[in-house]
Amino acid sequence: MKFKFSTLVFSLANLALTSLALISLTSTNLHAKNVKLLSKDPVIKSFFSAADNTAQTITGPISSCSTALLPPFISLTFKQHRHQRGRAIKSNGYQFHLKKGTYLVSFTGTFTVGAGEGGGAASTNFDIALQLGPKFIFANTNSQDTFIDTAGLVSFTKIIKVDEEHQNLSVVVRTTTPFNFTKATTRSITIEKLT
Amino acid sequence: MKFNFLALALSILTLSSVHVEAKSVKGLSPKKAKILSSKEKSKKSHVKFFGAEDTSPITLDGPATTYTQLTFTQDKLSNGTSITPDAAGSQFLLQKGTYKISVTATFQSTLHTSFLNFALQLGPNTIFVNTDSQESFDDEEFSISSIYKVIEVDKPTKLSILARNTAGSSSAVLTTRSIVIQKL
Repeated sequence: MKFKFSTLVFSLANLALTSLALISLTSTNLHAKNVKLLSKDPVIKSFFSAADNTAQTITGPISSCSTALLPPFISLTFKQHRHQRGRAIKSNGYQFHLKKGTYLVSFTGTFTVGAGEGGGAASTNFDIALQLGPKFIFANTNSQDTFIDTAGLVSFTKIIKVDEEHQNLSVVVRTTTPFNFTKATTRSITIEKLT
Repeated sequence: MKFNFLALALSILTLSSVHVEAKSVKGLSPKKAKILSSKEKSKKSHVKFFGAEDTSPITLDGPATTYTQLTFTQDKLSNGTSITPDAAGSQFLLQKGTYKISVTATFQSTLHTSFLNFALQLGPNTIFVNTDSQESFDDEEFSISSIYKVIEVDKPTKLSILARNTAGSSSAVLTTRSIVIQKL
């Protein structure tokens, strides 16, 4: 009788353990599977996108002398509406820390221009470029009317390659017309890792 | 006795099923991981693109009726064999498929007001003609133009980016420009 009872208890305990083991194995497996799918899903690439509508004013040279130095490029900020997938791209709000690889950079921004103190030319020119590490690349130039037709929309797309383990990327702007200014308003950037 | 035997059999059966289940879960996991990584590799290789830029000036005098092919010879980056540029960097042979084309260019109007047409040449057809104008007065002479278009080719087809200045007695110069072609 004792033997019968102990066998029965053993059997029931086994059954309970089996169920518990199966539940835990299944849930562990499912959890691991989900994490794997999320982190290794090859269809969705690493990307980072952000926007900003905080006005940034970028002033031109304070001298109209032809030998006057151009002011330095200023990095645009992207601190709002941040979306990210993967770990290849990080941002501190104005610099994007990219891991080694190839990236597609897409930018859209609205710029208004105006005359600062001391007058200024009827037209305002500004350069917009990418800064990758210490280098300024893909510099484009835009002109806008300083007094009437003051707003303009600039978009660009560019593939860049990061050869080093990590490199910082920024979208930079400088005003080249003396005494005038360029104001960046609504802007957005999307960076997608291609390889 | 019968009960004893039944209980023992049930116990052994339960124990063995735990082992079988544990083995199958254990066995599946690395297999699945392998499948995932091979899928990952094959899908990663499906990201086909070509990107390039150029800063050599192209002068566009108006009025012009014929187009000039834009060149993209610097900073070339590509993945895959779906997109092949020619030696001049002005024609791109696209294999069958769907592609997204993105072009950005700065042009400077150097004489009077220029009206620039930007277009795509796909095989023998000139498509997606866009126009931007810029005057050369008051130093308001630079313009950044961008175009985006998805195209589909059902056989290997050559693609070019075209520009022309249609305004009489005017002149423009194309400077910085970039192209991105992504296979979708």
